[in-house]
Amino acid sequence: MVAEKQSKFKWGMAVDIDACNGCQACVIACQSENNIPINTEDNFKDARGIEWIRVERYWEGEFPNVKAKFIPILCMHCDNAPCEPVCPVYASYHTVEGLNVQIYNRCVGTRYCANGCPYLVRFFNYWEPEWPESFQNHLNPDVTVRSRGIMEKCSMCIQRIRRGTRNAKRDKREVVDGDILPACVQACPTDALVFGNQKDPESRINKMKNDKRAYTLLDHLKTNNNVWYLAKVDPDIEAHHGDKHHGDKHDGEGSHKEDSH
Amino acid sequence: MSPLENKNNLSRRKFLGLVGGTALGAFIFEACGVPEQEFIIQAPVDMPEDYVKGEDDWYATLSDTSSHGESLIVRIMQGRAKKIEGNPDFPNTLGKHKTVTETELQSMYHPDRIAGPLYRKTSSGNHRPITWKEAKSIINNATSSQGTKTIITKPIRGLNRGLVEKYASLKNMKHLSLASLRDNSMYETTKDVFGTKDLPYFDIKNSDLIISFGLDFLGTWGPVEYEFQFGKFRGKENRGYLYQIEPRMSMTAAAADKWLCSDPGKEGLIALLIADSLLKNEKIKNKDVEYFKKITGIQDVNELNNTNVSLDAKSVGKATGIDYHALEKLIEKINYSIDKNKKIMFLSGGCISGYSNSRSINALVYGLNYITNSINKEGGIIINPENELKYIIVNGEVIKMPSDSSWNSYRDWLKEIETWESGGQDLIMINNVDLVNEIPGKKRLVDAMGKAKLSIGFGIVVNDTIERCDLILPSNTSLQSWSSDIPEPKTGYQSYGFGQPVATKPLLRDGSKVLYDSKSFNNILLDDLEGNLSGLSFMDICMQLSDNIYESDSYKDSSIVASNKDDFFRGVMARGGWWNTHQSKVEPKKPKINVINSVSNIKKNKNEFYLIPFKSHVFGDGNSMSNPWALGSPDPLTSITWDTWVEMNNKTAEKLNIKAGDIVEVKSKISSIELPVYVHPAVPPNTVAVPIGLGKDNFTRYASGRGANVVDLIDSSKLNENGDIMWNSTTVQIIKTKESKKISKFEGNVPAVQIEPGVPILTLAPGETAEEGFHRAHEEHLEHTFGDHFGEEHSNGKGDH
Repeated sequence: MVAEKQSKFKWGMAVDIDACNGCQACVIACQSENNIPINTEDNFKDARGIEWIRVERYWEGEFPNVKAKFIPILCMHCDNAPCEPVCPVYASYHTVEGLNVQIYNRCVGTRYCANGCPYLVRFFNYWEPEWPESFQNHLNPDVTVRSRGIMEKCSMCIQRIRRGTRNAKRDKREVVDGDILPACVQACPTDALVFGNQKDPESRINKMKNDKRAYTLLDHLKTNNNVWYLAKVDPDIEAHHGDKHHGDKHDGEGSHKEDSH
Repeated sequence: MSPLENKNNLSRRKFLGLVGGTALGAFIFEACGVPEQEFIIQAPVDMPEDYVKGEDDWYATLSDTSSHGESLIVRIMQGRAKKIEGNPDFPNTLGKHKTVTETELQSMYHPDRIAGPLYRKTSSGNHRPITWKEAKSIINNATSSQGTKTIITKPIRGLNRGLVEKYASLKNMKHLSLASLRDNSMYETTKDVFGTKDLPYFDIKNSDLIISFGLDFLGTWGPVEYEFQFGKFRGKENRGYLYQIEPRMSMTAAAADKWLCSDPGKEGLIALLIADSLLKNEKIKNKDVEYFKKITGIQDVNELNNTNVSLDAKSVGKATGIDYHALEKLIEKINYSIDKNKKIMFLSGGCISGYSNSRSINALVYGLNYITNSINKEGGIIINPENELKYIIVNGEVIKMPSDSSWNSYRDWLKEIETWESGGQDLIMINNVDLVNEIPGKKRLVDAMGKAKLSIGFGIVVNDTIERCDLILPSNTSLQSWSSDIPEPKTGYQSYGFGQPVATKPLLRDGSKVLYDSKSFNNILLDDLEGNLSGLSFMDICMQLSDNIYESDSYKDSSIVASNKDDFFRGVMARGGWWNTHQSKVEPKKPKINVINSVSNIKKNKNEFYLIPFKSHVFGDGNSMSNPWALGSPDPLTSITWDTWVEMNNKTAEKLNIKAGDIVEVKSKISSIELPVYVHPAVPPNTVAVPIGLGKDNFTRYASGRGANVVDLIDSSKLNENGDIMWNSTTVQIIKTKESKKISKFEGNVPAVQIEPGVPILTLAPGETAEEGFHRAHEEHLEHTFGDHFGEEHSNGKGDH
């Protein structure tokens, strides 16, 4: 913990669900950046698809008052991560910069960490990843390809963090907010994903995590997440709540209050 | 002595001493109980395999999957492309990219890319490899001889279009364009309504209220910059409100604050209801109303109503299948916004363009912006200026640069196919268009193509169309080609996009062999030309455009400052294009709003369903489906991967005793296909929806034989006002078979991370905090579980929970 306090960085991410349109750009960007194996048809059928970041879609209501809601879910990089103490070989550990990462060549594949993770964001390689030879041209040389029997997970694109901090050092300057973008954050078309240093008081992530809409998933588990969510806003929700019978009968909308327009 | 030793003054003896000291130090450190330090040493960042491997370079080029002229930056290491990202400089990308854009990397290194030119002498013969020299000779013989010749491309713009049209005119060929489910009607209507050749720009970020009739600007239509703007629209202090009106929930409807689901073809009535209400609104300035009346030539909206439905919320609600309270609320919200001087914008397109009266509805909806004075206003519709340069002259040849995409209606295509069928076609050249799967009537197309004397197909991989061509030519991907495009729509000012080769030809991993001997389509055309353009490459033409921009009046105060033409060209290449943000306002020129028919009447029998074919957000038009990233990326709404499906309302499915995964026959008057059912509540009970893009016999190892092609079901016997197929006007029967299958989908792979049972995503009222939202969700959950009784006791403080 001493080292963590001394570090200049504590990385975190914020996800504005109100801006997310569920487009999956983050998912493919992550696959491309992190050499994630091709998710085949059978992988999905067997619930063995690997997506370090996934977009979950929920239906709310019935036709015609139905809404689709999206939430991107990735590793929460918990300060109090349930996956870390259970690893018998210390393959799952916490960096001084607040990241929960996996040491692939230590991992012996017990899968205890995956069992312990309440967010289900750790993935086990049941098979040796395979790409046709020509596809191997586009593999990212900064990221290890994980072999069969290894657990893998989101690293917040640690290779980009290292490159960003190293470039700043080379240029003899401090890392500034926005210098480092994990692949998912960079790709997100609506800018719903924001990444940054929590120790920088002026960073966007700091502002977002202190927003009144901010919350963390499964807060009651006290895993102390480093990924915050900004709740979705429904301008018609007060009307739903205050006059639900009117809503049930008609279209789910009640009379508007001025601020809900 | 090695350079290292020399630099650090490090001898072998000193090195061993240091190693010993470090090991001892580490041991003492561990004994002192500071385990973090030990972990730092073992961190992946310091593990040998995780060291950053060498330096990378980023180059800008143009996207091939985008139909809007989007610019990319590509990470290159040792000549190989490693990552694609949106160009942070370019106006219509702002560093972002569409979901499928990333798959261009896999197109580049696809294992099934065409390795070299292939040729067969007779249509029944087998293709055999030939050299590029032989291929060039075959092309030249065919294009130089007299006869009926056609060159086919996707809709293209700018110099890319200019070159194809120049080539076509020099070779006496016809140029035709095709794209699946393209919004032809919307593109053409906006030209009329705003009196400009260029598509206008929608200022989404600054709008307060957007009412979109079917335009899927957050999904399958529009530059990625619109999605970025949407994030700002939602994130600003006065959060914007989005209505989406359409018969199927698109990505935009899913993100909307309110989706109004109208029966297909009836949306025009809602537009008329809004128009009627606006014209009666006393807060609206008379001059805006008068202007609208002047350009439409109508005095009373009722004149446009070709139905017996009166323009009140109840009647329109009944006719469109929408609860009238929702329509009243819509009108109320519009009036409220006018009262408070909020910025309103009306958009139209997408599925609207698939009706018989698409042009009328589009014209009417865009016309509403005149009444609300939303043209050239912040948060409204911004008329794009035309680019100053309309053409360039290269070695005395004029090459035009149209800023609007080439397009042809289905009527044009029918005429063309008839020529082919007559046996009068000498040459067909097809660049990267899967003609036989994108036009209804595959068998007819295949037979017609077979009657042409010679067909030449250009492509990255073989598809059902290319495999039927006599000469198959491997073309470069966007990461290997020179190109020049004009963003459509532009972002309110002049801009050009430039593409350049950014990676070497794909090699074997050890670099010993070039895998695919491909050439750029534009360069193949130039190679085939004699005369003034002979010997030029497309790079020369791009350079000429760059020089002309440098010399133009628009250069002043633009995105690139350079002291000479060469520096300017380097600047253009580095930034992916050129633009000039200084732009004076462009007023609409002679706008025309021609509303012939506001309501389309699609006849549906009682036991039939409306069929809505659609582009899935990740599948697109299907051309990227050769790539496993696209196939394996879940469709955002259904989460289905690797397959085609039919979407059906949950209650309808229950009535028909159909479960998710059951195979049904989807049968139209034209044909039938079998598909697994995906059941969800966001489909109207009287409608089924099927994505396009699959159902191809030959389309790489990944996509061949997957799913079914809904285009086969489309009734193309009647055309709309634009001469196009009425994509959304077919009705079908659903016949249950005895079979079912497990659908490949993400849904169900992980359980929900719920804040309360049944409340997986925290949703707040405006101004509410997350804590208050949690409390409300908790209360609602208890009330839902235990009934009102609990709520009363709890609120009276009597509860003991």
